[in-house]
Amino acid sequence: MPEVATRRILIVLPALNEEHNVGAVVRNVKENLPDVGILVVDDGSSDETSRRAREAGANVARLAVNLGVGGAMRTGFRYAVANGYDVVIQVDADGQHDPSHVPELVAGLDSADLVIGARFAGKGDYRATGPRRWAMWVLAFVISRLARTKLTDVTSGFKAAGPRAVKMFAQYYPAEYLGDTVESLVLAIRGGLVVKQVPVEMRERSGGQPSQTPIRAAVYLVRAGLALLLALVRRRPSVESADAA
Amino acid sequence: MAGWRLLSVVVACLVLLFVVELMRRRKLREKYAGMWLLVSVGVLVFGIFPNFAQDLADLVGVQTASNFTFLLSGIVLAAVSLHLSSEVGHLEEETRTAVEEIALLRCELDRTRAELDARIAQLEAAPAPQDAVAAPARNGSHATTSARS
Repeated sequence: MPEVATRRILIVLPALNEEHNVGAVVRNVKENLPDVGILVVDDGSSDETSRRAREAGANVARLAVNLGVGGAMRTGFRYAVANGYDVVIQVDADGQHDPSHVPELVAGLDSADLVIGARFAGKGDYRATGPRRWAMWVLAFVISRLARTKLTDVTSGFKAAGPRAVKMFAQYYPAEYLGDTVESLVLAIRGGLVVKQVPVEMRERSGGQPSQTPIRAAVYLVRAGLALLLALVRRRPSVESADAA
Repeated sequence: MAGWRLLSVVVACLVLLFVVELMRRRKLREKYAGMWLLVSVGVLVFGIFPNFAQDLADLVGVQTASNFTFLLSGIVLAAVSLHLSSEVGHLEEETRTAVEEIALLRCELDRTRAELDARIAQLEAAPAPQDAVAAPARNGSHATTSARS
C-alpha cells in the first residue's frame, strides 16, 4: 500500500456510472501525483464503476443508493477525517478536470481554506450559453460579494479543501440540488472560511454529453436561484443535528 | 338533524378506535398518534355538540359553522402534511448518513481484507520473495470479488 506512507492529500472522485472514464482518470491522477490517496466514491452506480476504479488502484467507497454529489463528497470528507488526511481535493470522474492542476490548488490552500478551480478565469475555452450562463453569472456575483473576492465559477466541481474546511464538511455537507457547489460555498463563507479561486483549464468530457436544452437551462436557473436563497437564509446547522444524523 | 349528529359521532368514535388500535399494535408511533388522537377527539366534540362549532364560528366571524369546520380541517390537514414533509426530510438525512457510513465501512473492510490477505500470502511464500511481491495484487482482487458476491 504505497499511500500509507504519505497520507496528507486525498483525491476524492465522486462517480456515477462512469465505468468508461473512471479507470483512466484514476490512472491519470496516479501518474501526475504518485503519492496521494485516491478515493472513488461510487454514488450508487449500476455499472462496473466500482470494479474499474479498484482495478485502477483506487480505494472505493460504494454508496448503496444514489445520494448525489453532496452525499458522495461528505463520504469523502469523513474518510479523510477518519484516515488522517488534511487536504481533500474533489475531481470529477468524467475526466474533465486535469489532475496536473492539483498542485496549483494545493498551493492556493496556503492562503485559503477552500480553493476553487475556475473555468472562466482566463484559461481554457469553456463557454456556457443562455439562461445557464446568466444563472452562473448571478451565482458568481452574489457569492463573490459574500466571499469578498472575485469568484467566476462557483459551480465548478474541481475544489480543494484545507484542514479547517475538511473538518467542517465532514460534519455537514449539503446533499440537496446544487448543495455540493452553491450551498457548500455559502456555508463555508458563513462559517468564516477563506475562499479563493485558481484558474484552470477544463478538458472535453471524455464520454457522455452535457445536458443543454433551453428548458433544462431555464429550470436550472430557477433551481439555482432557489438553492442560493435557501443557502442564504438557512441557519447554520447545529453540530448536534449533524452528530445525531 | 339527529341522524346527522349520530353519523358524525359514530365516525368520530371509529376514528378514535382506529387510532387507538393502531397504537396498540405498535403500527403508529406515539408522536404521530398524539396528533391523530387530538384530531379524532376534536371531531367527536364537534359531533356531540354541534353548537360548539357554531359558537366558535361566531367568535371568529365566520357565518356558517360548516365553513368554519372546513377551514379548520383544511388547516389541520395542511399542518399534518407539513409535519410529514419535515419528517421525510429527517428520514432522508438519516438514510443518507447510514448509507455513507456503510460505504466507508465496506471500504475499510475491503482494505483490511486485502492487507490481511497480502500478509498471509507473504508469510506463506516467505522463502520465495518474488512470489510475495506478486501475491498481494492477486489476493487483493480475489478479496474484492468475494466481497461483492
